[in-house]
Amino acid sequence: MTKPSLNTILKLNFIIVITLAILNLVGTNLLATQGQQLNQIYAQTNQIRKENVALANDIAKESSLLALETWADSRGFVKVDKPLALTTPAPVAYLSR
Amino acid sequence: MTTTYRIRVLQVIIPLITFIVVTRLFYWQVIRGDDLSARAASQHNSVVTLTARRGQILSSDQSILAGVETRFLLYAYRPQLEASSQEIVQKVAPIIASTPDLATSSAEILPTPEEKLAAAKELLEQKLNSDRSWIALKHHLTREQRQAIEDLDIKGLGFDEQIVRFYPEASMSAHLLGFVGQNQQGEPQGYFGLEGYYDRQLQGRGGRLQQETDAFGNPILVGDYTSYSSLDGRTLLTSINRSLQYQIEKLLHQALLKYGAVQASAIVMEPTTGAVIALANAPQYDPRIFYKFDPNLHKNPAIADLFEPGSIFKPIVMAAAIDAGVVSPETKCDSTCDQAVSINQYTIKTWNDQYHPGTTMTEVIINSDNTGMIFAARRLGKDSFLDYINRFGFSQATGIDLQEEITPKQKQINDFKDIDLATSSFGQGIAITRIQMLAAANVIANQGIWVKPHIVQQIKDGDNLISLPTPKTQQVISPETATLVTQMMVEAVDESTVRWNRPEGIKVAGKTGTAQIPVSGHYDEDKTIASFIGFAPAENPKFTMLVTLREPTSSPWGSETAAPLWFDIANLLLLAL
Repeated sequence: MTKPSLNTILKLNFIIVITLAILNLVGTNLLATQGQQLNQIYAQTNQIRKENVALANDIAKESSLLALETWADSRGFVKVDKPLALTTPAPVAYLSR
Repeated sequence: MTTTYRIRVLQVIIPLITFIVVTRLFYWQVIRGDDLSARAASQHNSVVTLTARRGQILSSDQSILAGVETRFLLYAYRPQLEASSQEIVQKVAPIIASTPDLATSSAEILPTPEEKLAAAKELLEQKLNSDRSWIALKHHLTREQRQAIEDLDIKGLGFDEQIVRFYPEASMSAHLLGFVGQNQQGEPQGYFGLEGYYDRQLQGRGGRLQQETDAFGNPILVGDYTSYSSLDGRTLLTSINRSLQYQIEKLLHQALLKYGAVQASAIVMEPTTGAVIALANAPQYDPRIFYKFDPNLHKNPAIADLFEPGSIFKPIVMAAAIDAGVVSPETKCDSTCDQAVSINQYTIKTWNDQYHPGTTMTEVIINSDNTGMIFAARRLGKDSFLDYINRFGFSQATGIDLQEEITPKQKQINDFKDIDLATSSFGQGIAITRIQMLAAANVIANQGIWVKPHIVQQIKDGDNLISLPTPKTQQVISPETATLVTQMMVEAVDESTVRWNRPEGIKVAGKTGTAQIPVSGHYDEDKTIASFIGFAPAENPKFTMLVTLREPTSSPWGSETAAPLWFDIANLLLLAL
């Protein structure tokens, strides 16, 4: 195997440097122009977050006691007046002693 | 021109030009360097402040008591306005007037629709008369209102987002929650209640995003990027039973009207844990529009107002006397109970001026006998009496997690005269808070153990639950004493007129109170605080509750006002707990 000449090495290095420079330029150009997309994604995320909060708040509003009471009243529900604690009755044999 | 001359000219001109260039460079780069760097940075660097969302406050069933929502500020930009002021007022005012103003009954200050429309028109006319080019017309509009105004297609009107507190239950639990206002720096800050006590936890931490942007404001991904992310506030999980809180507030509001009282309070706590299930007052305010209410209404009277408890204090003193071993439920009163007791220039009577010679201590509680209480307190002695007052927690704040709790100052042994011992034995001449009274009565319900009342059970940070320290407890009286006093309180209910309110089949331990209110150094005969304190079921209490009514006019007596209200609430609690 012959040893590459200095000229060949210089040429190779030159090609590598140029290739990397072009790649860097293209990559930078691509990234630099994707900011708009990123902005849109941020805006979308933000919008979805806000919608989530708004929907959760809507659920909370609809299930609030004030809303439920109005709904129940309109359908004729009435309140339990007074609780009655039931006690276990004594056995029949005991009662008829 | 000789060559030598030319060289000389160049020798002068080149250094001169070099000097001018260096001087100019020095000016731009050193003298104006910082300024120009800043101007350049402001053109291609954008800094966005990331605001933290305030934490939510949830009830025991995880429903939102206080959340956050986005509202909108409507503004007018005069250079772009095409419609006349009159046209804007006519079209926009009805939409603004449609703001939903929900409030629970105890905090209602609702204007009629006509009044709201007139107020909206007046507001818009006043704002549009301004000479400024940018005018803020109306804060806190809803999404629906924003959409309705946008549909009008009036050029020059715009909206800015505003993050505000959201109360799905309207003004319910206002005194518990507190409200969010602005501090001196114009930043949101919690005041009173849970908002004040847990402000740092709820606030979160704001962040900052700094990045290079292009001419359109879009970020340059290969440019500088620094981000300090924001941290949303933590969520408070409370022990408040939403349904009971709502119904109790409603009952208190009805009681104000029924008994002609000035103010009503009810506090319900779980005997063994100290968790507050409900804490309601009437009247109260609407935290959304707190600034429209009298500032005196912002404080929670259950923890920030002092009152003389009256006869509901008697079971506490009797428990102390029994625990100290100086009396038993069967101990008979000596001659102290034969007639009115005279101490120096003061004469102390019973509530009905009837006396029961040789009455037992159980009968003293049943008959709410002031003279019998003086007998028990004298047996206990001043030192012991004050020691038990401290042990029952009347000398320090309970430590409940609400911002505005106050610490009453009790008399020391040197200032504690014979008359003080006598009047304190039946709850007059001693000033305490309602929450202190409830925590002390709960000692009897909880086998003699004092437990710190508290509202927040857990704190949620994102998905992590932060455990809170176990509430402080202290053995104040023996379990045997607690059982004996419970029995006395059961008999106090069974043998008095309040028994007609008692739910069937359930034993209730309770005591009525009617305390006179001190005004300018003397007691006003006509003004009382009617109260009822108790727990149920007596043998295995599920709740301890205090109800107070200030200055009832239908009847001054606790047995005819506060007691029926207490049993109305107890019926709800027995069904729910």
